[in-house]
Amino acid sequence: MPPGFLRLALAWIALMLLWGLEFGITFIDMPPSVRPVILVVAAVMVGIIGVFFMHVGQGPTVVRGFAVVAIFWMMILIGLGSLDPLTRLQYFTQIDHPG
Amino acid sequence: VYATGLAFIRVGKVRELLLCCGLTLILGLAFLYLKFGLEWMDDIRKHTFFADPAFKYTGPDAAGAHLFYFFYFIGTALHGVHMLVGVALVAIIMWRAWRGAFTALDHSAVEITGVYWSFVDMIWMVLYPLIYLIGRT
Repeated sequence: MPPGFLRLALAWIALMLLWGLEFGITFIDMPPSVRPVILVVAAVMVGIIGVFFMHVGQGPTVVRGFAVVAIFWMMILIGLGSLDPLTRLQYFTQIDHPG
Repeated sequence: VYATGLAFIRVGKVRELLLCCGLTLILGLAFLYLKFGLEWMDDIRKHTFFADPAFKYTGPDAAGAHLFYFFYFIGTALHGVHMLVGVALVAIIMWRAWRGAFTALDHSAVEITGVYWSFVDMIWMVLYPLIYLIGRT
C-alpha cells in the first residue's frame, strides 16, 4: 500500500461511523427545532474530507481561508434553501394521484 | 478510492492509479444510475416532480410538499451535473495515465481532479441529511 494509505483508511472508517451516527439519530423522535443537529455530524464529515482527502490544512493561509469560506457559504445556501420545507411540522396533504 | 490512486501516483505507481480511477468511475456511474435511472424515475412515476401538472399532493398545505420536491430535484440535479463533470475528469485522468502522462513528480492534474472529486463528495455529505434524514426524525 502507498504511504498515507492508513491515514486515508482511518478517515474513511471515521466517515462510515459518522454516517452510522447520523442515520441512527434519525430514529430518535426530535422536535423540528432540534432536527438540524444532524447537520453538525455532516459538518464534521465535511471537515474530515477537507483535511484528509483535500489536504486543505497543508495549503497556504489564503487557500485555507478561501476553503473555509466556500464551505461556510455552501452550508448557508443549502441550509437556508431547505429551511422552510424542513421546519414544518407536518404536511396534511391530500393525494389525488397515488403512485 | 480516488484518494488512494492519488497516493499511488505520488510514489510513481501508474498501474495502481489506473485501477483506482477505474473503480472510481464504476462507483460514480453506479451512483448516477441509482439516483437518476432508478430513484428519479420512480419519483416522476409517482407524480412528485414539482412541475408535474398532476402533482401527487394537493390541498391547502400542498405548497410545503411542492417546495420540498423543488429543493430535492434541483439539489440532486445540480449534484448530478457536478458528478458528471467529475466522472468525465476521472476518465480523462485515466486516459492520460494510460498514455504515461503522469509521474511521481509531475501529476498536478491528478491532484486537482482529486480536490474537485472530494468537493463533490462534500456537497453530498450536506445534501444527503437534508433530503433523506432530517425529515425522518
